Amino acid sequence: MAEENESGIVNQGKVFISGQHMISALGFSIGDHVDSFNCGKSGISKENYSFDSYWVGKISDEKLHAERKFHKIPRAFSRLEALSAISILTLRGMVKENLSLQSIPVFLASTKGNIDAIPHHGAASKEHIHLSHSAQRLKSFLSLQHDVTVVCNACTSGLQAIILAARLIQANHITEAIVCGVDVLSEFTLRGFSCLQAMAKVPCQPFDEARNGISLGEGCATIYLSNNSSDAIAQIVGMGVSNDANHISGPSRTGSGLIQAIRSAVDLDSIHIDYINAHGTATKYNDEMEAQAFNALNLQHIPLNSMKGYWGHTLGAAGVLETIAATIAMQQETIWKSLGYENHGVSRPLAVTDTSVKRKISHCLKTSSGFGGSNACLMLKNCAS
Amino acid sequence: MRTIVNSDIFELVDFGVAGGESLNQRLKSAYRDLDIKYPKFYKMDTFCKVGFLTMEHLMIKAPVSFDPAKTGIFLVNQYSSIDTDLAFHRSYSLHEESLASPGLFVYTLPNILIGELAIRHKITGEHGFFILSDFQSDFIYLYVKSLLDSNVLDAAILGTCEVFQDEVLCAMKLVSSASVLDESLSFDLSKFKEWIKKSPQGR
Repeated sequence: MAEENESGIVNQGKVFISGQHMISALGFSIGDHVDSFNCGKSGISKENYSFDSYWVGKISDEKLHAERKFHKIPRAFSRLEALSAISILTLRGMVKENLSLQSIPVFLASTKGNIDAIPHHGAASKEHIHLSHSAQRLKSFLSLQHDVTVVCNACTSGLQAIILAARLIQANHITEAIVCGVDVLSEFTLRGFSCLQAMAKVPCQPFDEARNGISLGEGCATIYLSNNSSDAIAQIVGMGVSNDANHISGPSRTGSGLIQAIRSAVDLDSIHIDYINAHGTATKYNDEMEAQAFNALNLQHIPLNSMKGYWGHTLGAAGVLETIAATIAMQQETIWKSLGYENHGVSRPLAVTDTSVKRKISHCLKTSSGFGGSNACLMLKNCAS
Repeated sequence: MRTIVNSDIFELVDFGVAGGESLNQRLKSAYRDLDIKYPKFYKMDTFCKVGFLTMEHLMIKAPVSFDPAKTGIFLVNQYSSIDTDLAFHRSYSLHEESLASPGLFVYTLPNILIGELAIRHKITGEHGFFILSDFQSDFIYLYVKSLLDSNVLDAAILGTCEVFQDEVLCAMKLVSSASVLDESLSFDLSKFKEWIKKSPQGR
Protein backbone atom coordinates (compact mmCIF):
# COMPACT_ATOMS: atom_id res chain seq x y z
CA MET A 1 0.00 0.00 0.00
CA ALA A 2 1.63 3.21 -1.16
CA GLU A 3 0.74 6.49 0.43
CA GLU A 4 2.22 9.88 -0.37
CA ASN A 5 2.95 12.42 2.33
CA GLU A 6 5.21 15.44 2.69
CA SER A 7 8.25 13.27 3.40
CA GLY A 8 7.90 10.98 0.40
CA ILE A 9 6.18 7.78 -0.56
CA VAL A 10 5.59 5.31 2.22
CA ASN A 11 5.11 1.73 1.12
CA GLN A 12 3.93 -0.44 3.96
CA GLY A 13 5.51 -3.88 3.83
CA LYS A 14 8.28 -2.82 1.44
CA VAL A 15 11.94 -2.26 2.29
CA PHE A 16 14.28 0.09 0.48
CA ILE A 17 17.98 0.86 0.76
CA SER A 18 18.22 4.62 0.46
CA GLY A 19 21.58 5.53 1.89
CA GLN A 20 24.94 3.84 2.18
CA HIS A 21 28.53 4.41 3.18
CA MET A 22 31.59 2.18 3.21
CA ILE A 23 35.14 2.05 4.57
CA SER A 24 37.70 -0.58 3.62
CA ALA A 25 41.32 -0.92 2.55
CA LEU A 26 40.19 0.88 -0.63
CA GLY A 27 39.17 4.08 1.10
CA PHE A 28 36.64 6.04 3.09
CA SER A 29 34.05 6.87 0.44
CA ILE A 30 31.96 5.17 -2.21
CA GLY A 31 33.88 7.16 -4.84
CA ASP A 32 37.22 5.72 -3.63
CA HIS A 33 35.74 2.25 -4.04
CA VAL A 34 34.28 2.79 -7.50
CA ASP A 35 37.67 4.11 -8.69
CA SER A 36 39.41 0.97 -7.46
CA PHE A 37 36.78 -1.37 -8.93
CA ASN A 38 37.10 0.37 -12.28
CA CYS A 39 40.91 0.01 -12.28
CA GLY A 40 40.78 -3.53 -10.89
CA LYS A 41 42.92 -2.36 -7.99
CA SER A 42 43.14 -4.48 -4.85
CA GLY A 43 43.50 -3.05 -1.35
CA ILE A 44 45.20 -6.24 -0.15
CA SER A 45 48.85 -5.78 0.86
CA LYS A 46 51.47 -7.65 2.83
CA GLU A 47 51.65 -6.59 6.47
CA ASN A 48 54.30 -7.60 8.95
CA TYR A 49 53.20 -8.42 12.48
CA SER A 50 55.40 -9.40 15.40
CA PHE A 51 54.16 -12.98 15.09
CA ASP A 52 54.12 -13.39 11.27
CA SER A 53 53.34 -11.59 8.03
CA TYR A 54 50.08 -11.86 6.09
CA TRP A 55 48.29 -10.52 3.02
CA VAL A 56 45.48 -8.41 4.44
CA GLY A 57 43.07 -5.64 3.50
CA LYS A 58 44.05 -2.97 6.02
CA ILE A 59 42.32 0.39 6.48
CA SER A 60 44.72 3.33 6.29
CA ASP A 61 45.75 4.49 9.79
CA GLU A 62 46.45 8.01 8.53
CA LYS A 63 43.04 8.44 6.96
CA LEU A 64 41.36 6.97 10.01
CA HIS A 65 43.23 9.43 12.21
CA ALA A 66 42.04 12.35 10.09
CA GLU A 67 38.45 11.11 10.12
CA ARG A 68 38.56 10.65 13.89
CA LYS A 69 39.58 14.27 14.26
CA PHE A 70 36.99 15.51 11.80
CA HIS A 71 34.12 13.71 13.51
CA LYS A 72 35.44 14.43 17.04
CA ILE A 73 35.51 10.76 17.99
CA PRO A 74 36.40 10.31 21.67
CA ARG A 75 39.99 9.21 22.28
CA ALA A 76 38.85 6.23 24.31
CA PHE A 77 37.02 4.77 21.30
CA SER A 78 38.64 1.66 19.87
CA ARG A 79 39.39 1.32 16.16
CA LEU A 80 36.15 -0.64 15.73
CA GLU A 81 34.03 1.87 17.62
CA ALA A 82 35.62 4.82 15.80
CA LEU A 83 35.00 3.26 12.37
CA SER A 84 31.36 2.53 13.25
CA ALA A 85 30.75 6.04 14.55
CA ILE A 86 32.47 7.67 11.54
CA SER A 87 30.49 5.56 9.09
CA ILE A 88 27.13 6.19 10.79
CA LEU A 89 27.77 9.94 11.06
CA THR A 90 28.89 10.15 7.42
CA LEU A 91 25.80 8.24 6.32
CA ARG A 92 23.60 10.62 8.28
CA GLY A 93 25.08 13.55 6.40
CA MET A 94 24.46 11.84 3.08
CA VAL A 95 20.81 10.92 3.53
CA LYS A 96 18.43 13.63 2.42
CA GLU A 97 17.36 16.20 5.01
CA ASN A 98 19.86 14.88 7.54
CA LEU A 99 18.52 11.93 9.47
CA SER A 100 17.64 12.50 13.04
CA LEU A 101 19.52 9.62 14.61
CA GLN A 102 17.85 9.61 18.01
CA SER A 103 14.81 7.53 17.25
CA ILE A 104 16.28 5.21 14.59
CA PRO A 105 16.98 1.60 15.60
CA VAL A 106 20.64 0.76 14.95
CA PHE A 107 21.80 -2.81 14.29
CA LEU A 108 25.49 -3.63 14.47
CA ALA A 109 27.01 -6.72 12.86
CA SER A 110 30.39 -7.85 14.14
CA THR A 111 32.09 -11.15 14.88
CA LYS A 112 34.87 -10.27 17.30
CA GLY A 113 34.57 -6.62 18.34
CA ASN A 114 37.64 -5.39 20.26
CA ILE A 115 38.97 -8.89 20.84
CA ASP A 116 42.65 -7.84 20.89
CA ALA A 117 41.90 -5.85 24.04
CA ILE A 118 42.29 -9.09 26.01
CA PRO A 119 45.30 -8.25 28.16
CA HIS A 120 48.30 -10.54 28.12
CA HIS A 121 48.27 -13.04 30.97
CA GLY A 122 45.15 -11.35 32.26
CA ALA A 123 42.00 -13.04 33.44
CA ALA A 124 40.30 -10.29 31.50
CA SER A 125 37.27 -8.82 33.04
CA LYS A 126 38.07 -5.66 31.10
CA GLU A 127 34.76 -4.31 29.97
CA HIS A 128 35.80 -2.91 26.65
CA ILE A 129 36.49 -6.34 25.15
CA HIS A 130 32.78 -6.97 24.90
CA LEU A 131 30.61 -6.09 21.91
CA SER A 132 27.84 -5.19 24.35
CA HIS A 133 30.15 -2.50 25.69
CA SER A 134 30.89 -1.14 22.20
CA ALA A 135 27.15 -1.09 21.55
CA GLN A 136 26.58 0.99 24.70
CA ARG A 137 29.37 3.41 23.78
CA LEU A 138 27.90 3.97 20.32
CA LYS A 139 24.46 4.45 21.79
CA SER A 140 25.62 7.17 24.13
CA PHE A 141 27.98 8.90 21.66
CA LEU A 142 25.29 9.06 18.97
CA SER A 143 22.56 9.89 21.54
CA LEU A 144 20.41 6.99 20.41
CA GLN A 145 17.12 6.26 22.09
CA HIS A 146 17.22 2.48 21.56
CA ASP A 147 19.93 0.05 22.59
CA VAL A 148 22.13 -1.03 19.71
CA THR A 149 21.37 -4.68 18.91
CA VAL A 150 24.47 -6.66 17.90
CA VAL A 151 24.19 -9.53 15.45
CA CYS A 152 27.06 -11.94 16.12
CA ASN A 153 26.63 -14.82 13.73
CA ALA A 154 30.04 -15.37 12.10
CA CYS A 155 30.48 -14.38 8.45
CA THR A 156 26.75 -14.09 7.78
CA SER A 157 26.36 -11.43 10.53
CA GLY A 158 26.22 -8.55 8.02
CA LEU A 159 23.48 -10.01 5.85
CA GLN A 160 21.60 -11.29 8.90
CA ALA A 161 21.61 -7.80 10.45
CA ILE A 162 20.14 -6.40 7.22
CA ILE A 163 17.55 -9.19 7.20
CA LEU A 164 16.64 -8.62 10.87
CA ALA A 165 16.03 -4.91 10.19
CA ALA A 166 14.25 -5.58 6.89
CA ARG A 167 11.87 -8.11 8.44
CA LEU A 168 10.97 -5.62 11.18
CA ILE A 169 10.25 -2.95 8.55
CA GLN A 170 8.31 -5.43 6.41
CA ALA A 171 6.11 -6.33 9.39
CA ASN A 172 5.66 -2.62 10.10
CA HIS A 173 7.17 -2.87 13.59
CA ILE A 174 9.62 -0.12 12.60
CA THR A 175 9.72 2.22 9.60
CA GLU A 176 13.47 2.80 9.24
CA ALA A 177 16.77 1.41 10.49
CA ILE A 178 20.53 1.80 10.28
CA VAL A 179 22.60 -1.35 9.82
CA CYS A 180 26.35 -1.15 10.35
CA GLY A 181 28.71 -4.07 9.73
CA VAL A 182 32.21 -3.81 11.17
CA ASP A 183 35.26 -5.93 11.97
CA VAL A 184 38.92 -5.00 12.34
CA LEU A 185 42.12 -6.95 11.83
CA SER A 186 43.28 -8.56 15.05
CA GLU A 187 46.05 -10.85 16.19
CA PHE A 188 43.29 -13.09 17.52
CA THR A 189 41.63 -13.73 14.15
CA LEU A 190 44.89 -13.72 12.16
CA ARG A 191 46.31 -16.40 14.45
CA GLY A 192 43.00 -18.24 14.44
CA PHE A 193 42.58 -18.57 10.69
CA SER A 194 46.30 -19.20 10.41
CA CYS A 195 46.14 -22.19 12.79
CA LEU A 196 43.25 -23.54 10.74
CA GLN A 197 45.61 -23.36 7.70
CA ALA A 198 43.01 -21.12 6.08
CA MET A 199 45.19 -18.09 5.24
CA ALA A 200 46.38 -17.62 1.67
CA LYS A 201 50.09 -17.21 0.91
CA VAL A 202 49.21 -14.65 -1.80
CA PRO A 203 46.25 -12.23 -2.14
CA CYS A 204 43.12 -14.39 -2.15
CA GLN A 205 41.91 -15.91 -5.44
CA PRO A 206 38.19 -16.72 -5.21
CA PHE A 207 37.01 -19.55 -7.51
CA ASP A 208 40.50 -19.89 -9.02
CA GLU A 209 42.30 -23.17 -9.49
CA ALA A 210 45.27 -21.97 -7.42
CA ARG A 211 43.20 -20.59 -4.53
CA ASN A 212 44.56 -21.62 -1.16
CA GLY A 213 42.70 -19.64 1.44
CA ILE A 214 41.41 -16.29 2.60
CA SER A 215 43.00 -12.87 2.97
CA LEU A 216 41.54 -11.24 6.05
CA GLY A 217 40.41 -7.66 5.75
CA GLU A 218 38.87 -4.96 7.87
CA GLY A 219 35.88 -2.93 6.91
CA CYS A 220 32.94 -0.90 8.10
CA ALA A 221 29.81 -0.39 6.03
CA THR A 222 26.52 1.26 6.89
CA ILE A 223 23.17 1.29 5.14
CA TYR A 224 19.96 3.15 5.78
CA LEU A 225 16.78 1.12 5.31
CA SER A 226 13.24 2.45 5.23
CA ASN A 227 9.76 1.85 3.88
CA ASN A 228 9.96 5.13 2.02
CA SER A 229 10.72 4.78 -1.68
CA SER A 230 11.90 8.31 -2.35
CA ASP A 231 15.66 8.35 -3.02
CA ALA A 232 15.68 4.54 -2.98
CA ILE A 233 18.77 2.92 -4.49
CA ALA A 234 17.51 -0.64 -4.30
CA GLN A 235 14.58 -2.57 -2.91
CA ILE A 236 14.99 -5.74 -0.87
CA VAL A 237 12.51 -8.09 -2.53
CA GLY A 238 13.61 -11.36 -0.96
CA MET A 239 15.64 -12.69 1.96
CA GLY A 240 16.52 -16.03 3.41
CA VAL A 241 18.55 -17.53 6.24
CA SER A 242 19.28 -21.21 6.77
CA ASN A 243 21.53 -23.58 8.65
CA ASP A 244 23.39 -26.52 7.07
CA ALA A 245 22.96 -28.63 10.23
CA ASN A 246 26.04 -30.44 8.99
CA HIS A 247 29.34 -29.20 10.44
CA ILE A 248 30.34 -26.34 12.77
CA SER A 249 33.32 -25.07 10.76
CA GLY A 250 33.03 -26.60 7.29
CA PRO A 251 30.35 -25.89 4.68
CA SER A 252 27.98 -28.59 3.52
CA ARG A 253 29.50 -30.43 0.53
CA THR A 254 26.25 -30.31 -1.41
CA GLY A 255 25.43 -26.68 -0.68
CA SER A 256 22.08 -27.79 0.74
CA GLY A 257 21.88 -24.93 3.24
CA LEU A 258 22.65 -22.24 0.66
CA ILE A 259 20.12 -23.81 -1.71
CA GLN A 260 17.48 -23.66 1.02
CA ALA A 261 18.28 -20.00 1.81
CA ILE A 262 18.06 -18.97 -1.85
CA ARG A 263 14.84 -20.92 -2.41
CA SER A 264 13.23 -19.29 0.60
CA ALA A 265 14.25 -15.84 -0.66
CA VAL A 266 13.42 -16.03 -4.34
CA ASP A 267 10.87 -17.66 -6.60
CA LEU A 268 13.35 -18.57 -9.33
CA ASP A 269 10.56 -19.26 -11.81
CA SER A 270 9.31 -15.70 -11.69
CA ILE A 271 12.46 -13.63 -11.16
CA HIS A 272 15.39 -13.52 -13.55
CA ILE A 273 18.62 -12.87 -11.69
CA ASP A 274 21.09 -10.74 -13.67
CA TYR A 275 24.04 -10.87 -11.31
CA ILE A 276 25.22 -12.92 -8.32
CA ASN A 277 27.46 -11.21 -5.79
CA ALA A 278 28.78 -14.39 -4.16
CA HIS A 279 30.53 -15.04 -0.85
CA GLY A 280 33.67 -16.43 -2.56
CA THR A 281 36.17 -16.56 0.30
CA ALA A 282 38.78 -18.45 -1.76
CA THR A 283 38.96 -21.46 0.55
CA LYS A 284 38.77 -24.77 -1.29
CA TYR A 285 35.61 -25.88 0.44
CA ASN A 286 33.60 -22.66 0.47
CA ASP A 287 33.93 -21.88 -3.22
CA GLU A 288 33.25 -25.49 -4.18
CA MET A 289 30.12 -25.51 -2.01
CA GLU A 290 28.83 -22.36 -3.72
CA ALA A 291 29.46 -23.90 -7.15
CA GLN A 292 27.42 -26.95 -6.12
CA ALA A 293 24.54 -24.81 -4.85
CA PHE A 294 24.37 -22.46 -7.85
CA ASN A 295 24.45 -25.43 -10.24
CA ALA A 296 21.72 -27.26 -8.33
CA LEU A 297 19.55 -24.16 -8.84
CA ASN A 298 20.57 -23.83 -12.49
CA LEU A 299 22.19 -20.43 -11.86
CA GLN A 300 25.60 -21.37 -13.30
CA HIS A 301 25.16 -19.13 -16.37
CA ILE A 302 24.51 -15.95 -14.41
CA PRO A 303 27.47 -13.55 -14.18
CA LEU A 304 29.00 -13.92 -10.74
CA ASN A 305 31.85 -12.35 -8.82
CA SER A 306 33.37 -12.26 -5.36
CA MET A 307 34.51 -8.89 -4.00
CA LYS A 308 36.97 -10.50 -1.55
CA GLY A 309 39.88 -9.93 -3.96
CA TYR A 310 39.39 -6.17 -3.51
CA TRP A 311 39.29 -5.88 0.29
CA GLY A 312 39.76 -9.35 1.74
CA HIS A 313 37.33 -11.20 3.97
CA THR A 314 35.95 -8.59 6.33
CA LEU A 315 33.97 -11.14 8.41
CA GLY A 316 31.07 -9.38 10.17
CA ALA A 317 31.27 -6.41 7.80
CA ALA A 318 31.32 -8.52 4.63
CA GLY A 319 27.56 -8.84 4.12
CA VAL A 320 26.92 -5.10 4.42
CA LEU A 321 30.03 -4.05 2.48
CA GLU A 322 29.22 -6.43 -0.37
CA THR A 323 25.53 -5.54 -0.44
CA ILE A 324 26.62 -1.95 -1.03
CA ALA A 325 29.03 -3.14 -3.76
CA ALA A 326 26.09 -4.95 -5.38
CA THR A 327 23.88 -1.85 -5.36
CA ILE A 328 26.72 0.26 -6.83
CA ALA A 329 27.11 -2.38 -9.56
CA MET A 330 23.41 -1.85 -10.34
CA GLN A 331 23.78 1.92 -10.41
CA GLN A 332 26.93 1.82 -12.55
CA GLU A 333 25.58 -1.00 -14.72
CA THR A 334 28.87 -2.83 -14.28
CA ILE A 335 29.75 -6.27 -13.01
CA TRP A 336 33.35 -5.87 -11.97
CA LYS A 337 36.07 -8.38 -12.56
CA SER A 338 36.24 -11.04 -9.86
CA LEU A 339 39.74 -10.05 -8.74
CA GLY A 340 42.16 -12.97 -8.36
CA TYR A 341 40.27 -15.23 -10.77
CA GLU A 342 42.10 -16.54 -13.82
CA ASN A 343 41.70 -20.29 -14.19
CA HIS A 344 38.42 -21.93 -13.28
CA GLY A 345 38.99 -23.87 -10.10
CA VAL A 346 35.69 -25.35 -8.95
CA SER A 347 34.33 -28.68 -10.19
CA ARG A 348 31.12 -27.23 -11.67
CA PRO A 349 30.66 -24.44 -14.24
CA LEU A 350 30.12 -20.87 -13.03
CA ALA A 351 30.07 -17.60 -15.00
CA VAL A 352 32.80 -15.92 -12.91
CA THR A 353 33.63 -12.52 -14.46
CA ASP A 354 37.32 -12.57 -15.46
CA THR A 355 36.94 -9.07 -16.84
CA SER A 356 34.55 -6.24 -15.94
CA VAL A 357 31.37 -6.22 -18.02
CA LYS A 358 28.82 -3.50 -18.68
CA ARG A 359 25.22 -4.61 -18.38
CA LYS A 360 21.86 -3.50 -17.03
CA ILE A 361 21.13 -5.22 -13.73
CA SER A 362 17.53 -5.40 -12.64
CA HIS A 363 17.93 -8.13 -9.98
CA CYS A 364 20.99 -9.09 -7.99
CA LEU A 365 21.39 -12.02 -5.59
CA LYS A 366 23.79 -11.44 -2.68
CA THR A 367 24.86 -14.50 -0.66
CA SER A 368 26.96 -15.25 2.43
CA SER A 369 27.89 -18.40 4.30
CA GLY A 370 29.82 -18.89 7.51
CA PHE A 371 30.99 -20.90 10.50
CA GLY A 372 28.21 -22.46 12.49
CA GLY A 373 26.63 -23.66 9.22
CA SER A 374 24.90 -20.34 8.50
CA ASN A 375 23.79 -19.20 5.07
CA ALA A 376 22.03 -15.94 4.23
CA CYS A 377 20.97 -14.22 1.06
CA LEU A 378 19.27 -11.06 -0.18
CA MET A 379 17.42 -10.48 -3.42
CA LEU A 380 17.95 -6.88 -4.51
CA LYS A 381 15.92 -5.02 -7.12
CA ASN A 382 17.30 -1.99 -8.90
CA CYS A 383 15.10 1.02 -8.16
CA ALA A 384 16.30 2.85 -11.27
CA SER A 385 15.15 0.12 -13.65
CA MET B 1 29.05 -21.10 40.56
CA ARG B 2 25.88 -22.65 39.34
CA THR B 3 24.24 -23.49 36.09
CA ILE B 4 20.54 -23.37 35.67
CA VAL B 5 18.87 -25.34 32.97
CA ASN B 6 15.37 -24.32 32.16
CA SER B 7 13.47 -26.60 29.89
CA ASP B 8 10.15 -24.99 30.47
CA ILE B 9 9.47 -21.57 31.82
CA PHE B 10 8.14 -22.92 35.11
CA GLU B 11 10.79 -25.50 35.79
CA LEU B 12 14.41 -25.03 36.64
CA VAL B 13 17.03 -27.73 36.87
CA ASP B 14 19.81 -26.58 39.11
CA PHE B 15 23.31 -27.36 37.93
CA GLY B 16 24.88 -25.97 41.08
CA VAL B 17 28.39 -27.23 41.66
CA ALA B 18 28.75 -28.79 45.07
CA GLY B 19 31.42 -30.53 47.12
CA GLY B 20 34.47 -29.51 45.16
CA GLU B 21 33.09 -30.79 41.89
CA SER B 22 34.29 -28.78 38.90
CA LEU B 23 31.89 -27.34 36.37
CA ASN B 24 33.28 -29.68 33.75
CA GLN B 25 32.67 -32.71 35.99
CA ARG B 26 29.17 -31.47 36.71
CA LEU B 27 28.42 -31.08 33.00
CA LYS B 28 29.76 -34.55 32.27
CA SER B 29 27.59 -36.14 34.91
CA ALA B 30 24.59 -34.19 33.64
CA TYR B 31 25.33 -35.58 30.20
CA ARG B 32 25.52 -39.13 31.59
CA ASP B 33 22.22 -38.63 33.43
CA LEU B 34 20.56 -38.00 30.08
CA ASP B 35 21.50 -41.51 28.97
CA ILE B 36 22.16 -40.58 25.34
CA LYS B 37 24.98 -41.49 22.98
CA TYR B 38 26.49 -38.37 21.43
CA PRO B 39 30.29 -38.53 21.72
CA LYS B 40 30.62 -35.11 20.02
CA PHE B 41 29.51 -33.67 23.35
CA TYR B 42 33.00 -34.25 24.77
CA LYS B 43 34.60 -32.18 22.00
CA MET B 44 32.46 -29.11 22.72
CA ASP B 45 33.58 -26.10 24.70
CA THR B 46 31.86 -25.32 28.00
CA PHE B 47 29.51 -22.83 26.34
CA CYS B 48 28.20 -25.37 23.84
CA LYS B 49 28.02 -28.13 26.49
CA VAL B 50 25.78 -25.94 28.64
CA GLY B 51 23.58 -25.02 25.67
CA PHE B 52 23.49 -28.60 24.41
CA LEU B 53 22.28 -29.97 27.77
CA THR B 54 19.62 -27.28 28.08
CA MET B 55 18.31 -28.08 24.61
CA GLU B 56 18.22 -31.82 25.41
CA HIS B 57 16.00 -31.10 28.41
CA LEU B 58 13.81 -28.83 26.32
CA MET B 59 13.46 -31.46 23.59
CA ILE B 60 12.44 -34.12 26.14
CA LYS B 61 9.64 -31.84 27.36
CA ALA B 62 8.68 -30.37 24.02
CA PRO B 63 10.02 -32.41 21.13
CA VAL B 64 10.12 -30.55 17.85
CA SER B 65 7.57 -32.05 15.54
CA PHE B 66 7.78 -29.23 13.04
CA ASP B 67 9.28 -28.98 9.58
CA PRO B 68 13.04 -28.67 10.28
CA ALA B 69 13.39 -26.05 7.52
CA LYS B 70 10.70 -23.98 9.22
CA THR B 71 12.12 -24.22 12.73
CA GLY B 72 14.49 -21.52 13.93
CA ILE B 73 16.90 -20.97 16.82
CA PHE B 74 17.41 -17.48 18.32
CA LEU B 75 19.81 -16.96 21.19
CA VAL B 76 20.99 -13.86 23.02
CA ASN B 77 23.62 -13.06 25.63
CA GLN B 78 25.82 -10.27 26.87
CA TYR B 79 29.34 -11.68 26.71
CA SER B 80 29.45 -13.63 23.45
CA SER B 81 31.88 -16.59 23.54
CA ILE B 82 34.25 -14.87 25.99
CA ASP B 83 35.11 -17.98 28.06
CA THR B 84 36.50 -19.78 25.00
CA ASP B 85 37.93 -16.55 23.56
CA LEU B 86 40.11 -16.28 26.68
CA ALA B 87 41.13 -19.94 26.41
CA PHE B 88 42.12 -19.49 22.75
CA HIS B 89 44.02 -16.31 23.62
CA ARG B 90 45.93 -18.24 26.32
CA SER B 91 46.77 -20.95 23.78
CA TYR B 92 48.98 -18.56 21.81
CA SER B 93 50.03 -15.98 24.37
CA LEU B 94 51.00 -17.88 27.50
CA HIS B 95 54.48 -18.86 26.36
CA GLU B 96 56.81 -17.59 23.70
CA GLU B 97 56.60 -20.88 21.78
CA SER B 98 52.97 -21.76 22.45
CA LEU B 99 50.82 -22.58 19.43
CA ALA B 100 47.33 -21.32 18.72
CA SER B 101 44.78 -24.13 19.10
CA PRO B 102 42.53 -24.73 16.08
CA GLY B 103 40.21 -26.85 18.24
CA LEU B 104 39.57 -23.82 20.45
CA PHE B 105 39.44 -21.24 17.66
CA VAL B 106 36.44 -22.84 15.98
CA TYR B 107 34.48 -22.30 19.20
CA THR B 108 35.26 -18.57 19.45
CA LEU B 109 31.91 -17.53 17.97
CA PRO B 110 28.68 -17.74 19.96
CA ASN B 111 26.62 -18.96 16.98
CA ILE B 112 28.66 -22.18 16.95
CA LEU B 113 26.19 -23.24 19.65
CA ILE B 114 23.35 -22.73 17.16
CA GLY B 115 25.33 -24.88 14.72
CA GLU B 116 25.74 -27.65 17.31
CA LEU B 117 22.02 -27.58 18.17
CA ALA B 118 21.10 -27.56 14.48
CA ILE B 119 23.29 -30.61 13.81
CA ARG B 120 21.98 -32.52 16.83
CA HIS B 121 18.30 -31.83 16.13
CA LYS B 122 18.49 -31.41 12.33
CA ILE B 123 17.06 -27.89 12.46
CA THR B 124 17.78 -25.83 9.33
CA GLY B 125 15.57 -22.72 9.50
CA GLU B 126 16.29 -19.01 10.00
CA HIS B 127 18.32 -18.37 13.15
CA GLY B 128 20.56 -15.83 14.80
CA PHE B 129 22.79 -15.03 17.74
CA PHE B 130 22.46 -11.55 19.22
CA ILE B 131 24.44 -9.66 21.81
CA LEU B 132 22.50 -7.29 23.99
CA SER B 133 23.71 -4.86 26.62
CA ASP B 134 21.04 -5.70 29.13
CA PHE B 135 19.11 -8.66 27.76
CA GLN B 136 16.67 -6.05 26.67
CA SER B 137 15.46 -6.01 23.14
CA ASP B 138 11.96 -5.81 21.88
CA PHE B 139 13.47 -6.08 18.41
CA ILE B 140 14.47 -9.74 18.75
CA TYR B 141 11.04 -10.62 20.09
CA LEU B 142 9.31 -8.70 17.28
CA TYR B 143 11.64 -10.27 14.72
CA VAL B 144 10.77 -13.81 15.83
CA LYS B 145 7.10 -12.86 16.01
CA SER B 146 7.19 -11.52 12.44
CA LEU B 147 8.82 -14.77 11.23
CA LEU B 148 6.04 -16.80 12.86
CA ASP B 149 3.27 -14.42 11.73
CA SER B 150 4.44 -14.49 8.13
CA ASN B 151 4.87 -18.29 8.13
CA VAL B 152 8.56 -18.12 7.38
CA LEU B 153 8.83 -20.30 10.49
CA ASP B 154 6.38 -22.67 12.18
CA ALA B 155 8.36 -22.85 15.41
CA ALA B 156 11.31 -21.25 17.13
CA ILE B 157 13.59 -21.97 20.04
CA LEU B 158 14.32 -18.80 21.99
CA GLY B 159 16.91 -18.60 24.67
CA THR B 160 20.03 -17.32 26.31
CA CYS B 161 23.34 -18.95 27.12
CA GLU B 162 26.08 -17.29 29.12
CA VAL B 163 29.40 -18.59 30.41
CA PHE B 164 31.41 -15.75 31.91
CA GLN B 165 33.50 -15.74 35.08
CA ASP B 166 31.29 -17.37 37.70
CA GLU B 167 28.11 -16.86 35.76
CA VAL B 168 26.91 -19.96 33.97
CA LEU B 169 23.32 -19.81 32.91
CA CYS B 170 21.20 -21.05 30.10
CA ALA B 171 17.48 -21.06 29.42
CA MET B 172 15.47 -22.00 26.37
CA LYS B 173 11.88 -22.15 25.29
CA LEU B 174 10.00 -23.44 22.28
CA VAL B 175 7.39 -21.17 20.72
CA SER B 176 5.22 -21.98 17.77
CA SER B 177 2.63 -20.33 15.62
CA ALA B 178 0.37 -23.31 16.28
CA SER B 179 0.25 -22.70 20.02
CA VAL B 180 -1.86 -19.98 21.56
CA LEU B 181 0.24 -17.15 20.30
CA ASP B 182 -0.08 -14.37 22.79
CA GLU B 183 0.67 -16.34 25.89
CA SER B 184 3.43 -18.34 24.30
CA LEU B 185 5.10 -15.31 22.81
CA SER B 186 4.83 -13.27 25.95
CA PHE B 187 8.01 -15.10 26.91
CA ASP B 188 10.23 -12.10 27.10
CA LEU B 189 13.98 -12.35 26.79
CA SER B 190 14.39 -9.36 29.05
CA LYS B 191 12.80 -11.33 31.88
CA PHE B 192 15.47 -14.02 31.92
CA LYS B 193 17.68 -12.61 34.60
CA GLU B 194 14.73 -11.50 36.63
CA TRP B 195 13.06 -14.87 36.87
CA ILE B 196 16.28 -16.71 37.37
CA LYS B 197 16.91 -14.44 40.35
CA LYS B 198 13.39 -14.99 41.67
CA SER B 199 13.33 -18.75 41.40
CA PRO B 200 13.97 -20.58 44.70
CA GLN B 201 16.87 -22.44 43.16
CA GLY B 202 18.22 -19.35 41.44
CA ARG B 203 21.28 -17.35 42.21
